[in-house]
Amino acid sequence: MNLSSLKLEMATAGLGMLVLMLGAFTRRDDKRFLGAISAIGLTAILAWSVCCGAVMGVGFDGMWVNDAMALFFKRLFLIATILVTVMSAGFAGKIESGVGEFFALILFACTGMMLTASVNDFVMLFVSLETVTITFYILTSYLRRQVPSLEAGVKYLILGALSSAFLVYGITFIYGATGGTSFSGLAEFLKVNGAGGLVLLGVMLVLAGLGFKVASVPFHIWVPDVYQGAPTPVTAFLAVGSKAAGFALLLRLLYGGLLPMKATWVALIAVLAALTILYGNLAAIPQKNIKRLLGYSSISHAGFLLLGVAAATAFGTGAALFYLFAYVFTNLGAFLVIVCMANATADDEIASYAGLARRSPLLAAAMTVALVSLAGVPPMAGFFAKFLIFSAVIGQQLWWLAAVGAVGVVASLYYYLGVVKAMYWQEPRQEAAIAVGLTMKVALWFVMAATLAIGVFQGPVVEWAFEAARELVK
Amino acid sequence: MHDQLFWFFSIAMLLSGLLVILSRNPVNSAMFLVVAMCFMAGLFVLLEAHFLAIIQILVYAGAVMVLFLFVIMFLDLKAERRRRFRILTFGGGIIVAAAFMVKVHDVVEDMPLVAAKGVAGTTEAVGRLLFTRYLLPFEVASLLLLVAVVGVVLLSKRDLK
Repeated sequence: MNLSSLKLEMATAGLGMLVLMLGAFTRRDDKRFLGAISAIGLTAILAWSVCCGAVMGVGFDGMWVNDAMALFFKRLFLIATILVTVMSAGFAGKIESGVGEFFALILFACTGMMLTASVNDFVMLFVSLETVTITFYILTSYLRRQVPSLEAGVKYLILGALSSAFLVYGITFIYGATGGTSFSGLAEFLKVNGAGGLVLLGVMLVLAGLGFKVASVPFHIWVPDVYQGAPTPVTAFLAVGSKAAGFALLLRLLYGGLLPMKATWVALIAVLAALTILYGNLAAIPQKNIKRLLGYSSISHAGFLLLGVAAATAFGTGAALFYLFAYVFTNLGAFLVIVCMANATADDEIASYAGLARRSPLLAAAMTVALVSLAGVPPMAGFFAKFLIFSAVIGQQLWWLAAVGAVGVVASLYYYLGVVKAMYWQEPRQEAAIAVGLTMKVALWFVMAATLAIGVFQGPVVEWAFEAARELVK
Repeated sequence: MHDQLFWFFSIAMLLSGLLVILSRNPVNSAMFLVVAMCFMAGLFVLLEAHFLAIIQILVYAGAVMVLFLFVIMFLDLKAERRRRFRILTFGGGIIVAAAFMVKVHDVVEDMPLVAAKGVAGTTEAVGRLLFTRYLLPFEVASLLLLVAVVGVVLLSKRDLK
């Protein structure tokens, strides 16, 4: 059972190594086909996970858990990675060197994320999280001839190292107190001794470390600069993949190890969620750069996801999972448009989006669908996700949290619709039409359709997310 | 004997740690860090974690610090310029550090010290754990190292092609 439950991860890592090897034997101009191999391979792994590749159960001395939630996250990461790979193929022209390695690193990051979904032990938590983070240090500074990318890389490296230090420091305290590294051992220790002293200090430090990864206030300082400077597909992957991995770990830890101190963490996460929503949405309003805007918006979405976690019920967790699923398609839609625009106009200023509807109706429509869904307007996926989150919060009688969330939604409408207004009702700077390649066109149509479809026919996804949540929360 | 050695190692480690941040010449700072790590290795020996003590010297004091020194010498760093002494920054730092120390002290006071019991830090014990209980993280770390190697080559090679 041990090894077979790792089949999906081993396949993804193997695909990464295959791409790495093939990259050494391909000519510079042909490297895009490596993107095709990655995307096809990942799709095959996704299909395999649906039909027969998923082996459920606990393995490696309780360190590794494959349950419905792990599988939910793994499929989510696979879908996100497929879309990011397609996006990277559209972006490959801007990468000066190492196109093959770029795809391979994306696959390795995906492997790390898939590992985080099954973590049930602090050592495993640290190793899988570092696999994701270190890959992202490299990917963020990939355009090393360009100062913004390097600056983003250095900032991410320093703050990421700081957050890892918090994490390790916390894990040390927990080990010192409980004498073990497993989540279940921690839960038993808390049940007997209560939370206090050494173990509480350790838990707080670990939560701070995870706070960096999901970009919640007050651990959000790195987000705007890194999102703006990183290559666009990497920003997209950070926004959907790295954040979801952080949430996977957070949920595993909260329900696997910290259940006996639930009252404490519910209060803590509720406060963090409120601050994150307010900060993310208010700071996004004056932004002029679209990637920076989406950076702040990603902070605010972390806040909404934390709302679902703070509800601390199977319903709230299910709502957060559905939110993540909707967020993948919605956010990647916006980033696909940004990649196409940057290929045509060479900058990411919102001002360049003026009159986009006349230059490329498809791009304008895709961006509108994405932004409207991010804002949470029916009938998009984002609306139903927010609806579920708010019902979960109100179901727990957390009225003040719901009120803060409502303020956030109103503020977000302003800045999202500001971009839509620029695209449809402002004069373009230049009239030249923007050409969009066939792959990107297909991806744009697919993401738009998915955003709409998840919003209208929510049933299957909701069921799937709630089944995963019920197994976790019990 | 044991106690005296503990005090000797820890006080010497703290002093050299202080000198790391107080010396103005980066090379001196780095060398004091090596000294601090050697004394920390002494503490590990007192805890009978021999493997950790050796690794501490080989990996940290040896390999990592040599890299530090290489980088410092390559960059040809000059001695740090004297900065203006800001009472607010200094005071703020002291208050935060003091508050943290008080908290840590409270915590350490009633520390149960479960982990220290019966955990042998010998090479055999560490090896056994790595290849049995912690096999999966050990294997994942190899993937992590592969990623790191690929990244270093990509980000540091001179010509882009």
